[in-house]
Amino acid sequence: MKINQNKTYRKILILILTFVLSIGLFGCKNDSKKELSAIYDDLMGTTINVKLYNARQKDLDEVERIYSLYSQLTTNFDRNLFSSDSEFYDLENIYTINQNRGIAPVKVRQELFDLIKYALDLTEKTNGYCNIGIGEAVDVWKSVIESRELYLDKEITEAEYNSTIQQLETIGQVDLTNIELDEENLTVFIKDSNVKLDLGAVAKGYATQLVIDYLKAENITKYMVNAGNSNVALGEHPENRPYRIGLTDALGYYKNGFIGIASLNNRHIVTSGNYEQFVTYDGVIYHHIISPDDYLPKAYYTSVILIGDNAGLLDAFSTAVYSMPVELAIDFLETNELDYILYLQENNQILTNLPETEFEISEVKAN
Amino acid sequence: MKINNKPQFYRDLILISVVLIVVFGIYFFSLFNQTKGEMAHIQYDNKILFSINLENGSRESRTSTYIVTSMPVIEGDKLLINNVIDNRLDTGDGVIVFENSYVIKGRLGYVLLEYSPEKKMIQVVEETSPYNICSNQGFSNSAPIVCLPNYVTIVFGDIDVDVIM
Repeated sequence: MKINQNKTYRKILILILTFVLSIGLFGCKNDSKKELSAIYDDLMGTTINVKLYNARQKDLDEVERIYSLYSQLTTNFDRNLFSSDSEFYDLENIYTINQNRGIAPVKVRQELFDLIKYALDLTEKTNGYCNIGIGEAVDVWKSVIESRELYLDKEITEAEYNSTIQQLETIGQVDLTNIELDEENLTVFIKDSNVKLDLGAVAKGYATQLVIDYLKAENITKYMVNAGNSNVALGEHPENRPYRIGLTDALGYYKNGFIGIASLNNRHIVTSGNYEQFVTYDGVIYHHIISPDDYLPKAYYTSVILIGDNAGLLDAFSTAVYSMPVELAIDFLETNELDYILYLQENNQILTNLPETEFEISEVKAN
Repeated sequence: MKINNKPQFYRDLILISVVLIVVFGIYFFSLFNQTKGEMAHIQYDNKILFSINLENGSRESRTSTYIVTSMPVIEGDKLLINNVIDNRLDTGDGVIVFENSYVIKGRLGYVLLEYSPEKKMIQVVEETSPYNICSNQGFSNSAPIVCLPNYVTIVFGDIDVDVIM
């Protein structure tokens, strides 16, 4: 009798244990999904969307600090993005360096000095296709594009077009050796005022890479850091599956509005496209990514998507590839061992070296 | 005693196995079920501002997102939240969220959208336009909702993504 009773107890005990352990499974799942997220408007001139899992508030604060610092350092519109009580108030930045062109060297923080050095190195690595010294030409296009920002009809007049081309022609030779970096005194001096720094193609990616370096050092493996929907860093997905990234088809040629879906983990993905900042003249699209050769936007691609391990480098490279003819671009990307999805303007063709498991091309919409 | 013992042991084993299989089954089902669902993409001038998963109401935002604690009220060309004028939205930029209601700013003024978790559909509740075609259209989960004078469109797709680039 006593033995029997013991057995019943044991049975109940085992059942309870099984239940408890099983329910523990759900507990695990919920725990790994604990999300800490934030949206920062107006940092790096765009919206930054951060999702961290199994992280602390102080990690999120550090992410915000990095983006805030680099926003202030790299802006070329404003001396100050932050109010006087901010730790980033009155930092010398790209704006102050440009203001002092041909006048005086500007002493900068180590962080900005390193970034400019890095960006100059990328200019070299891209054979000048991504050039950080053509700020004058970039500004000319930016002001035309901004003039049509609020209109659905992006067509500019003949007078506007001619004045734009005229302004571009007055810009002299941009020679980057006129940027003087003094390693010892941490000063930057632009000797020739034809050179104007614009870090738009590098800054966002560079700051994003610093954020990812920080997350990795803190052992945060599950995250998604989305800088302006053009520069996205992916860690592990909280549901232990790849992230699904919908790549916009601005032309509506493919089904569902996407040229395809990329499924990726632990990678960076960066896009450059002609469909968000542009004007048209005579039906031709003039967008914000211009070739350093003639300061005109090129019409090889609708969008360029690059996938790799370094956000800073990818940002600059996607800008560079945008102005390269297709054959040269593929050669350049293969030499640098980068994955790519190129949405060509010619026949709306898609070229990629990603396997089907990582990129699924959408079907073409039936007419 | 001994004869009785063996089937007893197997019965326990079967019972425990069944419990384990059921729990694991539910667990895996819940894992795979999360990736399904129709998406509604809310666009201004062909740019997606945000997307809503019609299955669970979750939001993937591509624009500045302001979550508020009371229902926004559109009064002419003004937006009131808690009776205070809110100026945070720009034309085609930003979304104000209160539970399942969303306010964006179109070309002619504010546009109020609503997601219904019961119907798993979305509708335009209020907007400023000459004929109010899109707010008269009612709920949809397939036919596009087009507020042409406001440059606002809602399109539907069956692909659920984590991020749109």
